[in-house]
Amino acid sequence: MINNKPKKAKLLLYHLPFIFLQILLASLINHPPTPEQLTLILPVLKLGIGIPAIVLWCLRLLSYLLLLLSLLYLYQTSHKYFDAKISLFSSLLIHASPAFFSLWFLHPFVSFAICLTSWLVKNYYYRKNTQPIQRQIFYLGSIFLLLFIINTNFHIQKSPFLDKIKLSRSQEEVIKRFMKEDTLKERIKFPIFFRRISYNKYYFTYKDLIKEIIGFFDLESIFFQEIHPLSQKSFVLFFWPEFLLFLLGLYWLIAHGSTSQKKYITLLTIIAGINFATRSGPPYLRLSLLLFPLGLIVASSIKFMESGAKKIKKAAVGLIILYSIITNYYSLLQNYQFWFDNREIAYDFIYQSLQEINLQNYNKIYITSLIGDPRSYCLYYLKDCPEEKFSFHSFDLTSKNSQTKELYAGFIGEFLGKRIDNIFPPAATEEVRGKSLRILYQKKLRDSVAFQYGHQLIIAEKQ
Amino acid sequence: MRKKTKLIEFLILLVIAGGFWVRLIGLNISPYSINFDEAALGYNAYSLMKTGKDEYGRKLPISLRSFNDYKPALYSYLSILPIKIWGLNQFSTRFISALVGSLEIIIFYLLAKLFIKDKKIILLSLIIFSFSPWGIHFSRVAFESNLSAFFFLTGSLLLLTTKTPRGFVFVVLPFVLSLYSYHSARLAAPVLLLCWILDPLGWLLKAKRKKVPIFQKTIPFLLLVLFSLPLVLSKDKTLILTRLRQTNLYYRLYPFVPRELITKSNPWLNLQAHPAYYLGGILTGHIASYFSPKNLSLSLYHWVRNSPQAIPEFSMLGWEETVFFVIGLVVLLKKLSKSYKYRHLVYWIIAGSLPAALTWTWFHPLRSLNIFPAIMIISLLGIQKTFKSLTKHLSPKLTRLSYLSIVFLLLVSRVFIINNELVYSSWETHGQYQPGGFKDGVPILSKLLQENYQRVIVDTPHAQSYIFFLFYQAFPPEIIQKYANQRPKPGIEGNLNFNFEKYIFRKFDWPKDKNLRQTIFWTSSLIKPEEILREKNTAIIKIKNVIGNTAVNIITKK
Repeated sequence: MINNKPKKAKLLLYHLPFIFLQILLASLINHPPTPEQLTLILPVLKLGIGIPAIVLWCLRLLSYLLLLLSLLYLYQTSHKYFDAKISLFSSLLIHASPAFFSLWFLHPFVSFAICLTSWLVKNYYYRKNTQPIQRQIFYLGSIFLLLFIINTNFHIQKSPFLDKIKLSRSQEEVIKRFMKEDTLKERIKFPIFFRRISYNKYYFTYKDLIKEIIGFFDLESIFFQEIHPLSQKSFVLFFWPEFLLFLLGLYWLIAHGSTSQKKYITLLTIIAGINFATRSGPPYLRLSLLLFPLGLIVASSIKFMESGAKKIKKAAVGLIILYSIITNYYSLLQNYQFWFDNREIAYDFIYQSLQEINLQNYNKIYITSLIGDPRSYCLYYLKDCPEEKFSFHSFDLTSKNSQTKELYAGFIGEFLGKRIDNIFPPAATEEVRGKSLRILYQKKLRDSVAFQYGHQLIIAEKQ
Repeated sequence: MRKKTKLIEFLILLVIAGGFWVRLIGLNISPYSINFDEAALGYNAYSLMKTGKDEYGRKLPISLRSFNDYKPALYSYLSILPIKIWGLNQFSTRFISALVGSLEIIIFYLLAKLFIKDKKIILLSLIIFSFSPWGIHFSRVAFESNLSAFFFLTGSLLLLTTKTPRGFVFVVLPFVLSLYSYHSARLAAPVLLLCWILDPLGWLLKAKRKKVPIFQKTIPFLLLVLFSLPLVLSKDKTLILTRLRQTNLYYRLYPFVPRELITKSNPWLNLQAHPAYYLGGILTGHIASYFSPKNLSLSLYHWVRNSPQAIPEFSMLGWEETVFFVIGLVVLLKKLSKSYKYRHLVYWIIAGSLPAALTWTWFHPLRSLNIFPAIMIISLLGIQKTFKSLTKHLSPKLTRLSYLSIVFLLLVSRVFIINNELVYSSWETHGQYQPGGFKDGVPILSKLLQENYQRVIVDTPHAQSYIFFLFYQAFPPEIIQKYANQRPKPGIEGNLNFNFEKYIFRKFDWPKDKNLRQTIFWTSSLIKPEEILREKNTAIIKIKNVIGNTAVNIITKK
């Protein structure tokens, strides 16, 4: 065990450029608030405290502070088992990660959960040697339980893992399978008892759960999200060149690492696994706690560079990582709609446009609800959203005629009727005009956030 | 003790027999119908048997022109004997794949013995291998890659066991056969041999290496180059390269950088998002994807999902072996510097996955089928480690309980895999790549043609459906060979159907076609029966697919 005291000032000094860089990046992107952020911002705004944008930024900075604290806790704990260089390098690697950036920028609850978990882990390791084994187990169990409670209570969506622990769901699946097999015109016939061995609700539940567990070992989402077309919305946890360092670090740890180092990494991985199992959302959120053990493994690769021309090797690695940061941050800025949730971008467009219109001229304003809660966004952008004026439900102008003094903000499919193939050619906007509507604003989104309703957002009024 | 050993040996034999059974049973009904490539392999074998020429009339070719994709011909040559015995049908076409898939179990057993000494674990590993999703699936369909994988596995085993310079000469034979069986091996085999000669990981990790004179080790490589000369000098070479150009990532993904990030007309001058950075990531990511447990067990990419290589519920591995694969990877890393055989597993996976990794459809089980025995060995290392750890940390009672639980789950999963592959998969994969209707419809059509019909108008959405008419009727190849010059030229993609004898491939258009006499219409388009039956001397025969939906209508007009 390595026990020299970690130096916080030195740590802060190394992290300062990253802090500057990430805040600069955040201010350039300036993504609209996420539903998670809105749930925290709206109560503050209701009290009449502050301007929405400032409250949002305060929340973001608070989340950032929590994550920085978690980095400090990780540094302090890992310092007990790894040498100072590895601890420092790992904290820098995590800080540079796009997933880390998105966590504080978009997810305050997750940032809080990570901070709390890392603090508990730090306390566990600081007191471990002075506590009896029963108390240690109790303490660890409490960490797992707390993580479980936070993850299952602060999310609207249920975790896919927990969702699979439903025997009734498995039973339905078993019945469907039997029915499908029995409808085959010609098939190999196995005796029913043989089929029943695995075609039962218990095995199907096990099957679904083990599939969820395997999903945790997802190299693509961790290292190659920015490279592979995976058709999923996620941020990469580490840049792809770090995968090579990961291999070297893993080899070093397995072949030469001490038992306490391995145990520490294993515990962090188990905690990350529990987080994965109990959390819903895109892969980077579910895998977020993997940042810590993987950061340490990647950083351990510097042990591999301690022979030969080590300065040249280190400089080369440093330059490659720096280049990865530049490329990735550039991509976040330029390819903004690819990385960020288009639903928030949609509401931002709608309400920013409405702010430019004199809403007094309208009796009724219809806002699409296909992609979330339009009311919360209305309160954030417009502050005053009376029910008699605003309708926060999806509308269908194929079944209802548009009226004068009414304003419609939604997807093109809400104006023309939904289409199974989700294809609305460019000429479709002319069809909207053909319905005696005047298009005031329009925007094309990159993603199909409202499938069957097209990519085009339209704000229109009766001519 | 001896009794116990005997029992385990008996069980090993039983499992191997089970593996043979599960690969050979019901090949004519599961998968229900053959796919395009199987039909092509079978029919060309039939053509070679009858005339010594392929369907284009090329004498004893080393590549089959087939759908202008130049399939390696070895599979068809080997299929001549089963077709001679059982006639041209699904069983005889799939037989070679099923046979080599079964023999693979024995080779794997010999390979496993090099890594594991405990016979109980070898037994367990054989259960997993014999009843693995990929093992069963790829053996029950006529895939040339399965034949190639068998030879590749044999070659790999010989590489690990051969000690003498004279033996090195024989090492090369299975590799030569593998590269005459499937395109992928043409890259994988030389790369594996190069890794075997150079052992780069051994050098990087400063491992102890056996001192074999380098010129002795290069013998197999040089022989491989020598034996592959007919391929290099073949007239089909440029056409095969055309196919490579269509699939390789350089042509497809260039300039590698997302378009939104390119600011200059020459992307190589784009410093903030350089193509080299993205290309490096693509290549690394493609190879890494073959070590990714999620990919190996769950991911079904769209190019796999809609193809004959798709296995319902699985990617390639079963779930338990995937979990053990993760543990096995840790064991493998630990042992990398200790013995060459462990490094060989890494070389095997990298060499075997390289042909697929260099294409834009990077995770492609068919192109990387060679690697799966190596992956299974890694899983096996994981099982061994798990059992050792359980014995070390738990009381004897709990250890036994854990063993039994693992074995129980493994066995139940094997039952699931057998049901899934032999029965359920017919329901899932009967679609576009194994189109319904031909298997049941063509024999009916064949009977109808014995009456006085002048023509058959075929309307199908499939670009190569002609092959099913040849296959299911065992159409005389000498007649088809006469049409070789009228068929779409190599390099042309798209519709490869061609008119022959009474068969005309075109759209069905009833308002015009109703005036034709002595004609049979074969159509998978939607029809209005009442409109058709309004015409005199007209009848409709509905052909159902395996799940009972109408796949084809045969309309006869006298």
